[in-house]
Amino acid sequence: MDNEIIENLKNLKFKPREKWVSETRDYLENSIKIDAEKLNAENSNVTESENLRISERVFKLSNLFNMFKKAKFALTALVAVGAVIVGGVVTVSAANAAVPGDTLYGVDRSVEGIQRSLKLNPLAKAEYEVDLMEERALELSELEESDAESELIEEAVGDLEEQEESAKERIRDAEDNETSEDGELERVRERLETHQEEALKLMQKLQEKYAEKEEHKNGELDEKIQKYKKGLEEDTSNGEKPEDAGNEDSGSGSESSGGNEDSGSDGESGNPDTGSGSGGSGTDGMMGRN
Amino acid sequence: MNKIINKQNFVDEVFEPYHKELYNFVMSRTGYKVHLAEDITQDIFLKLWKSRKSYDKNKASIRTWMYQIARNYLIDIFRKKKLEFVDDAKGSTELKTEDKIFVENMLQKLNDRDRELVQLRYIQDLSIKEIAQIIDKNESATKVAIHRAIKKLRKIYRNG
Repeated sequence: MDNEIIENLKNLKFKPREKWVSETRDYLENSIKIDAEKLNAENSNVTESENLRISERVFKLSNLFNMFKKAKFALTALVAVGAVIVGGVVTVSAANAAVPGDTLYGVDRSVEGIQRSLKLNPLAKAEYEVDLMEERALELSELEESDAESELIEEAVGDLEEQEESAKERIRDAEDNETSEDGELERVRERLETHQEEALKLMQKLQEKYAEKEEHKNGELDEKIQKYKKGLEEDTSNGEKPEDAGNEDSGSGSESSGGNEDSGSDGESGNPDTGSGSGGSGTDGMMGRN
Repeated sequence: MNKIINKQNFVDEVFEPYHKELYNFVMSRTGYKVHLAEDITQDIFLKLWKSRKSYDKNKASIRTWMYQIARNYLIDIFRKKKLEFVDDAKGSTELKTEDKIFVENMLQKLNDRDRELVQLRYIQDLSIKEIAQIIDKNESATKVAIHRAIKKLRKIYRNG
């Protein structure tokens, strides 16, 4: 009987529509192209107006795609309202992808401030701060990838460190709050730990990269990276000890958990990407595009 | 062989080989709603592109990394956005055989966790090791959990 069930399961395959496959391929290629274009623009120090033009193109392209996809929606009404707000949206949308040193980076941070003030309960606030930590790490990573000047890297390392502190503080607040659900809070805490581990890797990478450059040796950047790295190392090593000691999920090599794996809720923590996406760019959430 | 993912090879190394597989995975998680599965799968590929730096070729294969991100993304959207399934049966172009409907119904009677394990093992054809990496548990615990899930499925099958 098992064979019959398994055979039936193996046959439970669905094929995506050809049209969807080609649309998705185009959509991805466009997104990748736009990302690359943006990076090139930053590398060649384009002027403020050129930056805006690229951001507008990004916005128009993604909008065009969405309009084709969801043509059944009331386009007329959208166009009328869109004409009024498009200026603001373009700015905010472009700002969201900005990194330190960009003209719109200030706008990006202001928008985050507004979003932060809209989070009402301690858990949502903690989650948002973790989202922002992910965002700061991505910005730093982009700067690193584009060989940014050490001053910008230093600023971004400082921002990441500050953001990590805010996230930890908010998690502590949520821990003190009796209404926070334990499972949810644990998940947010695990997300923070994942980002701390990633930040540590990033610091190591930066240290190696910028140590190669003679002018940065023994400089302020190196000192800043060292300091933050030390803090992260302490945090990440501390994080493994107290609470996880009795948890069957924590020890990958432990064989003692053979029979009690059911007790874990879903075990969704600890993966390379926690996949929140909500605080990051506005394009990567399903709701953002639909 | 595992490779670094970049803008030149993302479509060829990630999208082309895995889009059918990922779509299939998402389909079951959305209760076989075609349009919803299409939208979510597309979002996951964009998420994969944006998260490409988290891929560590020494730690996992592209396939395992893809499932880890997809799984977390699905958990996030279903929880955060309080997503409600819309009835898009009209949009479904999938022709289902009686067997398919029967197996779908059986799977829907399992809880989310067991359904996911059965799906990863028997529909997506992943190895125990790969599943253990995806769900972040050790291999023996994963094996036991899958065994229990299939046992429950057998019971459902028997009871019709």
